[in-house]
Amino acid sequence: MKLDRQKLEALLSRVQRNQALPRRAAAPVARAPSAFAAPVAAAPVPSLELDEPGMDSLQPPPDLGRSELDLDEAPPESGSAPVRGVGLLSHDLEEPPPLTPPPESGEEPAPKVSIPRDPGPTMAQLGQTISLDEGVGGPLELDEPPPPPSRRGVDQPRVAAYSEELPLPENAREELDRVRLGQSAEVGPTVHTRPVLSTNVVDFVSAVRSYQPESFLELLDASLRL
Amino acid sequence: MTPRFDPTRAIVYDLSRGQLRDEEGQLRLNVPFFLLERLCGQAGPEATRDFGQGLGGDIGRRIRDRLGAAAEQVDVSVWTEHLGGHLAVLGLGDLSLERWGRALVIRIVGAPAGASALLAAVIAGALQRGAGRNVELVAFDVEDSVALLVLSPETAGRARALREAGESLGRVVEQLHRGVA
Repeated sequence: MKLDRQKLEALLSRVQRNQALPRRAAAPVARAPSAFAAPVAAAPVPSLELDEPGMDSLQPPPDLGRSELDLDEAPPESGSAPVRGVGLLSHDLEEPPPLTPPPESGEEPAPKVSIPRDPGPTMAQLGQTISLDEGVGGPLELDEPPPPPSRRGVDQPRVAAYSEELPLPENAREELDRVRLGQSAEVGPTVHTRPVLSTNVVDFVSAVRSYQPESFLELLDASLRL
Repeated sequence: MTPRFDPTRAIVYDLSRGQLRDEEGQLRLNVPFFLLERLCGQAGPEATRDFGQGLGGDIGRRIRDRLGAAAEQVDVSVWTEHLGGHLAVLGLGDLSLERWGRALVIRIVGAPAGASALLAAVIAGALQRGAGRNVELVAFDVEDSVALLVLSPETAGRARALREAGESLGRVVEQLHRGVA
């Protein structure tokens, strides 16, 4: 990735200015062992060799995965600055963290979305409308073509022809009524007939089954009142 | 608590004395049924009915003594237990009570053949003495059992006439119910 010329010049001037200053050893920072801390500490930070490659060949360290070097940032004075580990997933580095609005900011008004009304098909889509004249043709011929003559020369009756002497089917009238009423063959009326009255005493007794005597003498008296 | 029927020592065979006694100490007699049937046949219906009601009266008295005042309130199952127990001790079959609507029917299975009239008299005597009701029983021979329809003396005549006309127990009960309605 190419760096801006101005940034590189600023970097060069900063390096030259820092070379004049006395060097200061960085204090070791005790950090808790972390799965992400070790690779960061071991990762060599490449120094910028301004003499050898051209500006176009300068690239950020591939392990850091940062898209752009921000050279304007001040270098950290100590190791307490948060350093992002190289063990993070690539999508974690590529995607910026979600920005949470401060609580005092309140809800952001939702942007108005205007849905354009459907103007309907365009003339190009419709094409040209052709008005058709109503036909004045003759009646349609739906009859089947006459069967070919028999080889034996005997006239056979046509398929649609029937004899007047054929007896009607037994359910012809029911079928005709059913068609007139618009009923289909699968859906028909359910006829409930009155059940035959039974003279069995069991059925009769069931009608007075609600009688429940509480004692034997009550039942005995009821039987004596018959 | 309602006392249960207790058949313990109901009949004691004292072979040394050659006697049969019940728990009250009364003498009993073990005779073949066919001889008793012959005797009843020769004595006639009235004598047989009197004999049967006397035998049933003794049963009713024992039930009354056993149940006491509770005999008025106990349900059908208690009477089935006590009346059937005494009948079983006599060897007159297995008793059960049936309720056909409002009609009470006593069914006895395993009774000696030809004993329906005697059974009717025994049960009537037991109910008269034990329950204090004047009843008459109309017997219907149904397959291997005897069904005794418990009625008042006035209604029993109608039911008996219907039975003689060939009506079954169910038809008689049905017509008696229609008469009530």
